[in-house]
Amino acid sequence: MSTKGNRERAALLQGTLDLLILRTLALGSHHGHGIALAIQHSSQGALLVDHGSLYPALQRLEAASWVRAEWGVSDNNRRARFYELTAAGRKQLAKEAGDWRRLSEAVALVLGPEFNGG
Amino acid sequence: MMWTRWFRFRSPDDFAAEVESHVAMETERLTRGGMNEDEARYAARRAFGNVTVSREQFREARTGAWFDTLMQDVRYGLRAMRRSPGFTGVAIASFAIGIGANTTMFGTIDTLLLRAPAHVVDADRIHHLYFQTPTPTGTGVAVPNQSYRTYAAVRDGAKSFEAVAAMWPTTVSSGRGNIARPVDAVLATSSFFELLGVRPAVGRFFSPSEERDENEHVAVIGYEMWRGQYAGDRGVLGRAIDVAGVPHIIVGVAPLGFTGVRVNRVDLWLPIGVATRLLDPRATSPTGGQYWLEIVAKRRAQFRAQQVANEVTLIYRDLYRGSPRYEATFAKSEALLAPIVGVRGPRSNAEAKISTWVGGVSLLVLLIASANVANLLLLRGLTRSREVALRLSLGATRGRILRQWLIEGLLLAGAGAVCALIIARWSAAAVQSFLLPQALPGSVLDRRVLGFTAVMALATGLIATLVPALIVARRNFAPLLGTGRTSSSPHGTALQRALIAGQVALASVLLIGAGLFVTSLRNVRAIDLGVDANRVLYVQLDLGPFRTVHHDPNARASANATYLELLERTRRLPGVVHASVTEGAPLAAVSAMAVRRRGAPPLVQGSPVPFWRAVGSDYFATVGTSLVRGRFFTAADHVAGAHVAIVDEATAKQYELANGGLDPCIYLGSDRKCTEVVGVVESTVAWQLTGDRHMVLYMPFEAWPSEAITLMLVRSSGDARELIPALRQLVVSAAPQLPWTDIRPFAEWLAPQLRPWRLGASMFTAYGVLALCLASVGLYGLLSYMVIQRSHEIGVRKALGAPDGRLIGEVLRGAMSMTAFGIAFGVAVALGAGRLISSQLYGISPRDPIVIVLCAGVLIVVTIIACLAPARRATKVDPIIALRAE
Repeated sequence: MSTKGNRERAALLQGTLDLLILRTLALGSHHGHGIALAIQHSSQGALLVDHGSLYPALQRLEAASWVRAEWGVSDNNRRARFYELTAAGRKQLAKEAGDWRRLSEAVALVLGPEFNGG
Repeated sequence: MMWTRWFRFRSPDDFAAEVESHVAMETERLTRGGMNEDEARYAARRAFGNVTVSREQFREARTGAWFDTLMQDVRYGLRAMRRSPGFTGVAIASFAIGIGANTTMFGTIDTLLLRAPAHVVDADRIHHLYFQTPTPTGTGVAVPNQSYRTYAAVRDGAKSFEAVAAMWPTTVSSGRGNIARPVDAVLATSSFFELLGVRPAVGRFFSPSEERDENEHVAVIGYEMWRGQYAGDRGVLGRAIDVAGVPHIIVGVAPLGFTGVRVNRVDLWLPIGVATRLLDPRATSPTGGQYWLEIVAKRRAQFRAQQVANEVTLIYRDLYRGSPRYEATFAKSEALLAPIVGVRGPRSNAEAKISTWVGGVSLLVLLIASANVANLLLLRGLTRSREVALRLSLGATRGRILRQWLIEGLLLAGAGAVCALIIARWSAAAVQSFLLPQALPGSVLDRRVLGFTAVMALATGLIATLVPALIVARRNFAPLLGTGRTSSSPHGTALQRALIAGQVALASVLLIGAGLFVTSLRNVRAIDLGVDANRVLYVQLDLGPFRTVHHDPNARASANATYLELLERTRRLPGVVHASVTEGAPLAAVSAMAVRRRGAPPLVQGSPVPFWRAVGSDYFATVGTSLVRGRFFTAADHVAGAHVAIVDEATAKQYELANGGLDPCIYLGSDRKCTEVVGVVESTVAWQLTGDRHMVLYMPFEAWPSEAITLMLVRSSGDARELIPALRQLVVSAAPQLPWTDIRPFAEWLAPQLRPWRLGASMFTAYGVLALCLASVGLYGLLSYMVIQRSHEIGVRKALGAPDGRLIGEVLRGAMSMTAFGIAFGVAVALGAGRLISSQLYGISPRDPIVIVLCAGVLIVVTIIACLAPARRATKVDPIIALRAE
């Protein structure tokens, strides 16, 4: 378990988990555990995904056919289920990334220059 | 693909494996980071979060989940069904009865009214042509039979038809002597098959040059005949089949189930020209006037039926211009286009009407059966109130419970439908033998019928479950968690009681109908025919076309000689008591003769004249007509030139003959010489069993040398049917060159006439019994459950000293009140509707009190029987147990 305090972890907004997963998978296919680690890594430890809530999200993405899954063997010779982005998933990633950017720009505008930057 | 996700299932085990693999990897990672293994595993688990919740979420989110819950509901339903076998059995039986009755009738109705003939393309554009020509006195009747001339005129003149064909259904004799047998055949033009769009199974149909049957003689056999007699051998093409003495080369086999445009089976298809051999040499010539063939035509798509009918009407009127009394008759002829679906024609068909009525009753029976099951389900739902309350409190939604009950109901209906199909398979065959005696067997139960049954099962399952489910679901269940008791009235709600009363009413209407028809049938059977139908056979030899035999003196002499020789031999046959010959049709004479007694005024035009019959010696003894006055013909009378006659009572009365009929001098026709009446016999039945007796005059055959014998009559000492094989042998040995001989008991001639009453009796009895079963089952169910419901109250009363008799009496009273209402209502309906069937009854009024009382009696007895078990259960309630259950 990381040594960072719980309070400092940013609360993930609803729906952003999907975006993060899609983004992670855009860089290559992973199994669930690998995705959790990748997100933690890329965010330099700021985002700690509750591993249990990862799987419902993956299930949702699989149901929407944005990711594809298959059982395979990990580098440690362990059997794991690997997820891969589909073409539709790529489009969805682009769309959600765009939405996120617009949202954060809008929030920044509201906050004003005194709370931005720094 | 998006839609496959509905069916992609990931099993929960697969997910568990993924979770396990994830936890293992995290454990490994932490261990590699320096943690001790147990701690690492613990930490990994913690990082994952709640595995159970995760699993549940997976389950819920699974898009294939709906199937899983469905299976769960089905399994639950099956368990519930197994737990109460009595209820399940009764419910399934009710459904089976209701659905079975409808499936049976639908098959027949479909064939009679709805289904297009097999292998026919564009059946909606194909029509049967009917023509209606008024007579000077009436409007005439629409008939399909026309002359070849009419066919040729329509074929050549009607532009709105794509194709026109002619056909004639008949029975032909195949083979001679020993191997002769009758074959159902249809004579058709070559255009017939093209018009229908049918393709042969093997070989081909006939070509236009073969149609006239002049140089080559061809035939096409039916599929069943091919299978049966030729063992499906493709080498059948080129073989010959004897048709009325002429070998025809088989050129093709019709496809399975092909019957042309009618319902009856066809074993042989022959060119239309064969009619010249069978019927009349001029049958297919433009001058032939006989009305024999039927015209079938295919309308062009751009015309409507009425336009086409108008065109044909004009052609028809034009054709017959110049006929005598044209203005009053043919000038007003109408052509009608009838569909070829089923047996519908411009005239309403008796079988179709009956089927529709019976179909209506079947639907009613089905509704009652559904109501019955609904009632039972309602009662069961009430007893399961406690279970429902518990489930609701544990978090189930009402929707979920409703859905589960619905599935249970559908399972019951489904099981009932399967039973129904099994029953229908055999009952449909029985019904068909009544209503469609000549149709192909096995043509009644097929895909459409199965589809219909499935729909019925679905509909009844839905109705039977939804209504009670909705009633129960709306109740407030909280107070029930405590005691599990309901607070309904002592004998069920008003709705339930009304339901039972309604069933009793239906049963009483049907049973009254059954009683009336059975009595009618008995009365009809007991009619004194003046002829002994059970002992008498008629033998009709096929000696060539009737017209030829009748008009050609040589043919006539030869025919008579054949008959007389046969008569001699027959009289010597053991088992034959009497034998005789006559001319005319069996039983009913066709020619009329004016009669006038001496001194009477000339006859008024249009007054009734008797039919007459030239009979051989021993005729009356053979046929069984008894003498009222005077004597039979003696040998002295059976000579040429004799001027004697025997009249029947009706004639004697009509003409007021002297001496009670034994008038010494009456004038026949235009004859100037006196004819003496030597005897008076009882009146015999003529065409119609229940119609008026026609007047008949009998004369010795020998006195009429211009008549041809057409019939031999044989009276046997025992049952007429037993004599048939011996007679056939005799005919074959006496005249081996003859084709199939028609040998039949009189009773067979009568049987079709008895059909309406037999049909009514069987249908009403069958449905009456069904309705009775349903009503008694419903009653039993209601009473049983009520006793169970009230067992607490009964226990209390018993503890307080109520005698058993009182309890039994209560149960009985409750049942009787429902039955009494039902009977009263049913009898009222029967009396009111009696008018509708009074024309079908014979010798009994539709308000016959005996039938009504009998029927009421049956219902009361059945009610008492249905009460026995519940009443007994009421007395067996142990007050201690009942009180303790509180």
